[in-house]
Amino acid sequence: MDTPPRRHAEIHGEHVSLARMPGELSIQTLRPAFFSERDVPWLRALLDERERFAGRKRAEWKQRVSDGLPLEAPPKKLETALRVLERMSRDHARSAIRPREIRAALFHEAARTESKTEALQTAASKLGIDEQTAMECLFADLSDERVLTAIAPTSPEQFFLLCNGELIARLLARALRVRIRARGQVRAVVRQAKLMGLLCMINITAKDELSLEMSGPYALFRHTRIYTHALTSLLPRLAWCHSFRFEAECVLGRSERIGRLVLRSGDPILPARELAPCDSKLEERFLKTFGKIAPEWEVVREPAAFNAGDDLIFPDFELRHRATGERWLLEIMGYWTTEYIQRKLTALRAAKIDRLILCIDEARGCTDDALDVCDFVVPFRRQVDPRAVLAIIDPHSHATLQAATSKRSSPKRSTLAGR
Amino acid sequence: MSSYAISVIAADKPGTMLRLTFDAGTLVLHGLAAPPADALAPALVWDPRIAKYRAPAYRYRDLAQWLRGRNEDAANDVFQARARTDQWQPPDLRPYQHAALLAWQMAKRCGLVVLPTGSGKTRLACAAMAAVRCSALCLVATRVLLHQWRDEIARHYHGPIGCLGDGEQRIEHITVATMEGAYRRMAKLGNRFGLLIVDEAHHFGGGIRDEALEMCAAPLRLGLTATTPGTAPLARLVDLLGPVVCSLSIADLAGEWLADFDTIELSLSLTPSERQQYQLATKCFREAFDSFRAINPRAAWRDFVALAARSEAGKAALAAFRFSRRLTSYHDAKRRAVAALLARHRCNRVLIFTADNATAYTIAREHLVMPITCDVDRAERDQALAAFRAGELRTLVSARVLNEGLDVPDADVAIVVGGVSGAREHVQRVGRLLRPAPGKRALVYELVAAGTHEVAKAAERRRALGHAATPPR
Repeated sequence: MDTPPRRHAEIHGEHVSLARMPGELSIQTLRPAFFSERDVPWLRALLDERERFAGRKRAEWKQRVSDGLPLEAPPKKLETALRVLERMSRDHARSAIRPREIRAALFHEAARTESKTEALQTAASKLGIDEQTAMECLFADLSDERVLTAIAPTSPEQFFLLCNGELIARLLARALRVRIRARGQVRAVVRQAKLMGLLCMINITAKDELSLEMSGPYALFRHTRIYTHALTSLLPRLAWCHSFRFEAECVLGRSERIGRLVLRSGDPILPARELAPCDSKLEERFLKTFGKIAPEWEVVREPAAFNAGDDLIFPDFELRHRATGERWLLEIMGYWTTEYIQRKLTALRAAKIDRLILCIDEARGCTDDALDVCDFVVPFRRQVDPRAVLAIIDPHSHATLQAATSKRSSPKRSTLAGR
Repeated sequence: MSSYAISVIAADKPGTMLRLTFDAGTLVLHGLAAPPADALAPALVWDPRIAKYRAPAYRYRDLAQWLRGRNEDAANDVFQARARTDQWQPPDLRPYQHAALLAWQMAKRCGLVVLPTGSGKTRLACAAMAAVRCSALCLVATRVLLHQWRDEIARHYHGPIGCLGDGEQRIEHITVATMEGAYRRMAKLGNRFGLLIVDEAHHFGGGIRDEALEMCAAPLRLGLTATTPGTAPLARLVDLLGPVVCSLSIADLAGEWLADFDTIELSLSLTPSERQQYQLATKCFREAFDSFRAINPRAAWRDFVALAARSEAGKAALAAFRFSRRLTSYHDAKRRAVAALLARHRCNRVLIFTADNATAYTIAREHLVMPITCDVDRAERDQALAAFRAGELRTLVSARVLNEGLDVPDADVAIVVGGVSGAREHVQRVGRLLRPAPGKRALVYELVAAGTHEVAKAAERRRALGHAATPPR
């Protein structure tokens, strides 16, 4: 079945020799020669030529490629483009009867009969096809015998971005560790790193700019490619940062020499699908309901991270009063223990951060201890009550709202009890 | 400017009790805030990212011993519950298997056992698991072997058997996993098994995928292989699995525990036209290769390939090399020899081994014999093997899939048309025929293109068999 081309830089584990990749790819420097507008004419010709082979066997296309395509293309770039084209290609077996049925019938018959002709005749007649068809379709499901379908409509401009994704992916398949400097939307990168089990050293280098160094636990002992997938999965998320500089240490060949691949915002990379505005339905619902009851407060997603003792805190929201500019930070916590929350509150107090609201899911307590909540802790079940938040940051507005909806009960404060 | 480690592990306070834990394929030592004055266990490395000492998981045994030797409170939290199982029914062993098991146990249950194909390595592994009765992870090379191992273990173990690979992800006290599956998951699985068994252990030791063994904390380890790896990989395997505790070749077992066999080398000439093409291609290749070797006498083949890919002359040399290999892989005389041999052994079960899939398909078309290749899916392959066992199919042709592990008990003739991986591959292939049966004497035909590179290869293959076979005719 045909499937559409993927819309983001794909990461493949297999290795391609650096000698076969376009660009300056030597020790110390890995500077891939990115595809650009200049490559569009020959890429268009290549796509047209591939289109002409729709409905023909893959082996014929391979032969065409090995005979030499009539294109004025840089050889290494052409090789990269052909690899991308191959991945976009879909095919199907063209056979009246499933080839494995033909094989089963024919080979069993051949084991019984001395004569090849006789075996072929008997098997073909049992299958209800002629002998020539039986032989033609015998291996019709093998890769080279399969028939190519037309590739999904792709403009040369889209195609060169895919080729750039391929170039980067091939280099990152050698990545050992990465260093990143980024502004804006960095939290998604950090979250991805943690999700993939990477260790992440973070420095705040400037307002709103973070420097991150990421590597896997085992990387301490040897050059391992076991974290390649995890490290490369950061790049699509980086593409949505306001600005970034990405530096990957890549191992070159078997020699264990290290080269550095540097990518910056503005490089012609096709980003991953746009990140969701919220990390969860819970956050999405809070964003929506809080906006309704407190229109005078602006809700800012993913404000800058800040340090509190030994922790770096990435708040989920910043609540900013439109008129006065008053600011509160809000963090919705996942799984927690009493010790963890106490430590966090102590760190916040030590860092003199007194306007941070912790919303704690009562159902996600990993402890049997009870927790006495303080003023800025909002316990919740299933959804964060926007009124409880408003009661903390703007008691006056909350009172007005309460009066207007006096028939409805006010949110309860409770004592948290873990499971 | 401050630095923050985003990690689940909080920094230690000085004076905290020592505690060893497992973390993503490594061991973390808690409670030592700064490098101490006394000597640490050699495997420990200070990890500035978490401000703790860390060691590769496979050094667990050394570290646990070091921890026990310290005169202070220390906790070892690497493994969770280490339950023992009594659901094993120890298999009966042949004398040499019993000796191998004893040797492994005497080597503190860490070591490599080298036994030829068909000599019952899986059974030995079951006996080892039954002897230690702790949780065990068996790594196998392919998906086919995954199911074979599970079936064999089920004959001796009555509990549930876990499976990682070929679409299954079930972990049990006894689990079988493909090497690839284990490589990807060992960071999470590494502290769940007390015994690690590695089938076809020669796949490790070369640096590729070695992390699957390094990130596992299992203190008991058993490696199984049919061929002793080269010096460098062997040294690495000794570090990861333990020393070679028992090594027997085909020659040691042929006749009594393995079927006896003869090898017949057929020296087949190229036609004049083939000879001319071969010589031209070889000349082109040798010119480039010899001048490369003159400058880099100690360089490896891969260095030549890397360099050749950068110039037109080099590419032409590589193309010529590939052409010469293709030419000899199934030239006209081999084609006729295969036809004659198949006619001669119509009543036998024959395995044909080729250098590549293309040749396998050519032979399949020409002689209407079933190919077993990587393109043939598992269901069809299983059906074909079942038909071969039942005698409904008499011949199978394969390039590599039949080389390792597949249980093909009744084959008695092998036709080696070509190969690419040298002596080890040949030993594995011959092993396919050696599963013993009353009165069985297997026959191995080696088709060699006379006056080509194949002659030296054939001599190397014969040496690898340990002189068990009759001299070539």
